[in-house]
Amino acid sequence: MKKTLYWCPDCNVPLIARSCAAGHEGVPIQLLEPYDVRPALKTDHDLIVGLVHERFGPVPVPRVLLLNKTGGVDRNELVIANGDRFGWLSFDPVERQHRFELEPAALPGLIEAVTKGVVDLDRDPAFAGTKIRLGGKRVAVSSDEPDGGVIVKYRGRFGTGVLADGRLRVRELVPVTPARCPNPGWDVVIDRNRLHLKNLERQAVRTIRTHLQDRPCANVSFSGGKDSTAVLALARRAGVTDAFFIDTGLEFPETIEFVKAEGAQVIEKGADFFQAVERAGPPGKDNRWCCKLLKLHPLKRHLAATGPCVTIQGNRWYESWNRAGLDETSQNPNNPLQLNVSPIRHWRALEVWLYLWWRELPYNPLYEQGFERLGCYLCPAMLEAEYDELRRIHPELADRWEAFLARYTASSGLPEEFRRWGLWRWKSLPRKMVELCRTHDLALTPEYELAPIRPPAAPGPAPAPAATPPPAAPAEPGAAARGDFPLLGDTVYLDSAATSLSPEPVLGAVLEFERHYRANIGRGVHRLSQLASQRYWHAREKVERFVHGEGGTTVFTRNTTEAIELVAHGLSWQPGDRVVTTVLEHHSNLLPWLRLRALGVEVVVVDIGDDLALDLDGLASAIDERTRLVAVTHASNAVGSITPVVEVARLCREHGARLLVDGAQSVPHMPVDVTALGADYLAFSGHKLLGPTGTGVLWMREPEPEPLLLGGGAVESVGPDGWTLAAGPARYEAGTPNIGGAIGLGAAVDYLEAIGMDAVRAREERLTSRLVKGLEAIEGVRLYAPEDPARRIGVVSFTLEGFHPHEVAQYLSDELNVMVRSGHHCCEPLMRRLGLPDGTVRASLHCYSNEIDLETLLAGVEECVRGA
Amino acid sequence: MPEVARPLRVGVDGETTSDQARVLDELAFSLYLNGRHFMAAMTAPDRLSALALGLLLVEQAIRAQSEIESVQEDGPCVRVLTTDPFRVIVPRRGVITGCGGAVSQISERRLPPLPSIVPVQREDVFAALDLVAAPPEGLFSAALRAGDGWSVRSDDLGLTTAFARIIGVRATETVLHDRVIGAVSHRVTAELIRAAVVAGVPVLASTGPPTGLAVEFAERTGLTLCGQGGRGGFVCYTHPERLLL
Repeated sequence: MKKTLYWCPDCNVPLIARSCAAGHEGVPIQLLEPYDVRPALKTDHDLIVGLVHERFGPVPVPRVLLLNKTGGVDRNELVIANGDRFGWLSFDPVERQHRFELEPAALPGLIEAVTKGVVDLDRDPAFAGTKIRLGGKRVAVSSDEPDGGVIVKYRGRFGTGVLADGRLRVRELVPVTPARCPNPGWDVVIDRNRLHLKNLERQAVRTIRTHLQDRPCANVSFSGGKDSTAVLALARRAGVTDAFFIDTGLEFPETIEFVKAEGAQVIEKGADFFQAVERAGPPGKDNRWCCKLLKLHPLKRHLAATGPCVTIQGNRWYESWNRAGLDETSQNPNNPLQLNVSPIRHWRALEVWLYLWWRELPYNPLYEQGFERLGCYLCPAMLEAEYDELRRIHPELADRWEAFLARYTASSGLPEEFRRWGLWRWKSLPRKMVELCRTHDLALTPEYELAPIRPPAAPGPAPAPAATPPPAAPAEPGAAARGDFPLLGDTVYLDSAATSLSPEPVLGAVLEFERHYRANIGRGVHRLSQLASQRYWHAREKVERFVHGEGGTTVFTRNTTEAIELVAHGLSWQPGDRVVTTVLEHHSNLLPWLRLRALGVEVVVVDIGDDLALDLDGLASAIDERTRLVAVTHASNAVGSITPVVEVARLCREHGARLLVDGAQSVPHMPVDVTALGADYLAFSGHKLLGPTGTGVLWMREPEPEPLLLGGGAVESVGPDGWTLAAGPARYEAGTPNIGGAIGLGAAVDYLEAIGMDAVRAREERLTSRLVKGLEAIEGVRLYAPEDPARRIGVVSFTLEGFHPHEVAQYLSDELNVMVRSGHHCCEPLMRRLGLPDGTVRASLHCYSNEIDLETLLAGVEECVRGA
Repeated sequence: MPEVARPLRVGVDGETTSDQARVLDELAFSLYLNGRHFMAAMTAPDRLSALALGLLLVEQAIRAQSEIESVQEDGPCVRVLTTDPFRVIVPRRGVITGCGGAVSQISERRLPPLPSIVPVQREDVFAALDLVAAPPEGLFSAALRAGDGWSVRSDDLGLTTAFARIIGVRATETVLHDRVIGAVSHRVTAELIRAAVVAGVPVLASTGPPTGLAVEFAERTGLTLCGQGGRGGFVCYTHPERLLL
C-alpha cells in the first residue's frame, strides 16, 4: 500500500509514481490514513475557493488541489496544493456547514493577496504585553475578525490559527517568503503521468485476461461509480463485454441514466427498502441489513441465470480497512458461482481519475456535484456533507427518507439529533460520535446507542381510511400493487396457498373497525353497533356477489374447514347413505366425511390419473342413487389440478346428489360463478383471499343443514321448551362472530374485484408456466403439476433429489427470505398415492407475486442443487 | 292495498252494513345514517332505499349518491353508511328562527344554485302534469319528467315522502337526465320548493294552487313554479322566462 504521494516541483503537479514524464524527479509527500487521495473536482474546488475567499479575500488558489480524506466527525480532508499542505476542509454535522482552515505551508503562495482574516498580535491591545510561547496555545485577543480560521502575524512571522470567543489558538508561526508557483491544470497532470497510466492499464488488462478462463463466462460488476467505470473500460479492452448493475431502488436517477448509457444490464430490485425499513428500522454502518436484501439477493438471481462466472470488480485497497487486504482474485463468500477479480485494487482514487481523464471516459455526473462516493442515496456509509448535497440536488429523495426518520425518531422517543446529525447511521455509535454526543449532553446507553429522551410513543391513531379505498394502480393487468403489502418489502412470499397476505386496504378496514367502531352486531341500538352491523352485513353482500351467489345463503365461518364441517354435521345422515370424495382433497374435505362412517355412511374416495387430474370415469362410477353428497375440491392445494366441477355437477344432478365444492384454492385465484358451477355448497377461506385469518365462507343454494352451534344471534325466539331459529344466515352464526375479520374480508373482495379476477387468473397462469419451466430446467427437480396451464392454478409442488422438502424450505427461508411450504400440505392420502412419504416443496402464488419472486426461488433451488 | 275484514259501512240514513273496504298501506319508516337515527316518517312501503336516498339528498345530509358506501334495508328501517361514516354531518336548517324565537323564516342561503336557465317546452310541463293528474285514491303523487322522455312517479301518503322518493330514484340513475320538470298532485308548499331546489329541479308544477310562501320562496330561489295545472292549462307564478311557450 502506497503511503506517499510524489510531486514534481518543476511542473508543480502530483505524480502517481516517482518520475515525471517531463524528465523530473518527484518529491514524496506523506499521506494520512487510509492514504487515499483524489482530485478536487469542480464543486469541491469551487467550495474551497469560496471558503478561502470568504476568509482571506481574493487570494490565488491553485487549479490543482488534491484531497486526502482522513478520520473525523464527518467530512475531514487534508487539502494538498503546490506540493504541500494547503489546508483542511471539514464539515460540521451539528452546524451543517463546511469549514476551511489554512495550513502555514499555504501562506507563501497567497500572503501577498490577503485582504482580511489576519490577526496582527503586534497591534492587538488585548494581547499586548503577553509573553508566552505561542505554538498550540490559546491567548486572549480583541480582533474583530469573525470566529474561524485566521492568519496570525507576530514579530515578522506568519502562521495560522483558529479564533473562537475572543481567544486565539495559534497553530504555528514561521517566517514566510512570498512565492509565485506555476499554476498548471489537470491536462498537465495527465500528461506528466501518462507513462505510469499506460503501465497501470497494461497491468490491469493483463490481470483480467489471466483470469478470464477461470470460469465459463466473465462479466463486470458495474455500480455506476468511478472505480467500476474504470474497470469496465479495462475489462472491455480485455475482451469482456457483459456488465451488470444491481438496481437497489435507492439509486440516483443520474446513476441509472449513466448505467444505461454504458450498456450495462440492469438487474431489477427484488425488495422494497421503504417497506422493509418500517419493520427493520434504519440501517447502520454496523447493521447493514439492506445490502443483503437489496444487493446480494438480486445478485443471486442474476448469477443463477449466468452460472459460474468471473466477475471483474472495481474494489480498491484504499477504500476501507475491509478492502485493504484484497487479493487479485477472491471467491464471493456469499455465492460460490462467482470468482471476483480486482484488477485496480492497488489504485488510489487519484489513479482512477487520471485514468478516466486520460482515456476521456464518460463518468457519472454526480461526481462533479460534490459526491466522493456513489451508491444508494441514503447509504449509512454516506457522510452528512454528502447528504446535504443530496438534499440540494434531489430534495424529493431526501424528503422521503427524512419523513421516515422523523416518524422513527418520534416513535422511538429519541432526540431530534438522531435524525438531524445523521446519528441514525450507526446502531452503536463509534468513539468520535460518542464524544460529539457527550459534548452536547446527549445521553447514551451502555451500548453506546443514543438513549431515548421520552418513552417510545404508542402508535398514534391512524387516519381513518375509507372503508374500501381503491388499490394503488397495479403495475400490470392482474397484478396487485406490491406496495400495498407490507411484508413484501423484504420477503419473497410463495406460500399463498396456505395463507395469503393482506393489502393495506384490508388492514385499514380491520383497524378502522377496531379503532373507530368496535362493537357487537345486531345486539344494540347504539351508533357503533349500528355501524358494525351494517359493515358486517355489507361484507356478506360483497362476498356473495363475488361468487355470484345472490339468491343463496352466505354464512361466515372461521375457515373452509368449519364451512365443510357445518354441512357434514348439519345434514341428517342415514345408514346406507353414500358420500363420494377424491384423493385430491385437503384433510378438511376428507376427514368430516370419513367420520360419517361411524354413522353407517359409506364414503368412497375416487382416484386421480397420471396427469394428476381427477378420474372422472371413476367418479361417474362411484356416484349412484344412494349418493347423498359429492365433495370435491375445485383446485388442489397440493398439486394445483383444477377439477372440472361443471361436469361433476352434471353427474350429481343425474343421481340427485348434492355437490359440495371446496373453493379454498379457486375463489381467490379465478373467477368463480357458483351458479354456473352447479354447486349446492361452496366453501372457501378468507385468509387465502387476501382477507384476515379466522374468516371463511359457506355458500348454500338451500339452507338445509342444521346449525353447527346454537346460541345468541341464531334464534328468533326462545321459550322454556324450545326455540325458533332465525331466518337467513344468522341461524348459522351463533355467538359473536369475527366482525372485524368479516369486514376485512369484504375489503379484500373489493380489492380483488378492482384488479379483476379474469386478469388475476390470466397473470397467474402465465407466472405459473414461468415457474414450471424454470423448475423443469433444474437438474434433480421433479415436478408434480399438471402439464396443461389451463388445468392448473398457481400451486407448484416439486421435490429435489437428495433433499428432504423441509431442508429445501428451510434453506430458502434462511438464505433468501423465500417462504415456501413443505411436507404433506394436509393431503397425506394424495402424497401416499404419489409415492411421496416426505411430501413436496410447494410454491404458491397470488396476485402480488412477480417474476422476481420466481427467479429468486429458482436461484435458491439451484444453490441447493449445487450444494448437494 | 290490503283489505280489512268486517268494516262497518254507515249510510247517511244511519243504516249500517258489513262491507269489504280498502285501507291504505302505511309503514313507520326509520332512516339511520352512519349508525345514528336520522329521521322517521309515515310512508307507503315502497322503494324504501330510494326514499332514504332522496331524503338524505333533500335534507342536504349528502351531496351525491356516490358518497354512499351501502344501503341496508332492514324491515321498516333503512340504514345508510357513507364512505366516511365518521364525518360530522351538521344538519342544515331550512327554517331559521330569529331573535328570541319570535320570528322564523325559510332561508335560501344554504341552498345550492339551480341549474342555469335551460328552457323547457310547454308540452313537457303538460306531460309531467299528466303523470300526477290522477293519484290513487287517498294518496299524493309526485313525478319527474326529463326532456329525453324519462320519467318516474311515486304515490305516497304525503307529498314530502313521495317527492323525496323520486329524487332518490333519479339519483341512482346512471344516465344524466336534464331539463327535468317536477310535478305533484295537490298543492305546493315552500317545503317542496326547497326540496326541488336542493335536488336541482328547476321547474315544479302542481295540479292544485301553491301556498303564498311557496310562491315567495320560488321567486327568491329562481324556480319556475306552475300551479292549477291540467289539460286545459296551468298558471305560471314565477320565472316564466324558463318556459318555451
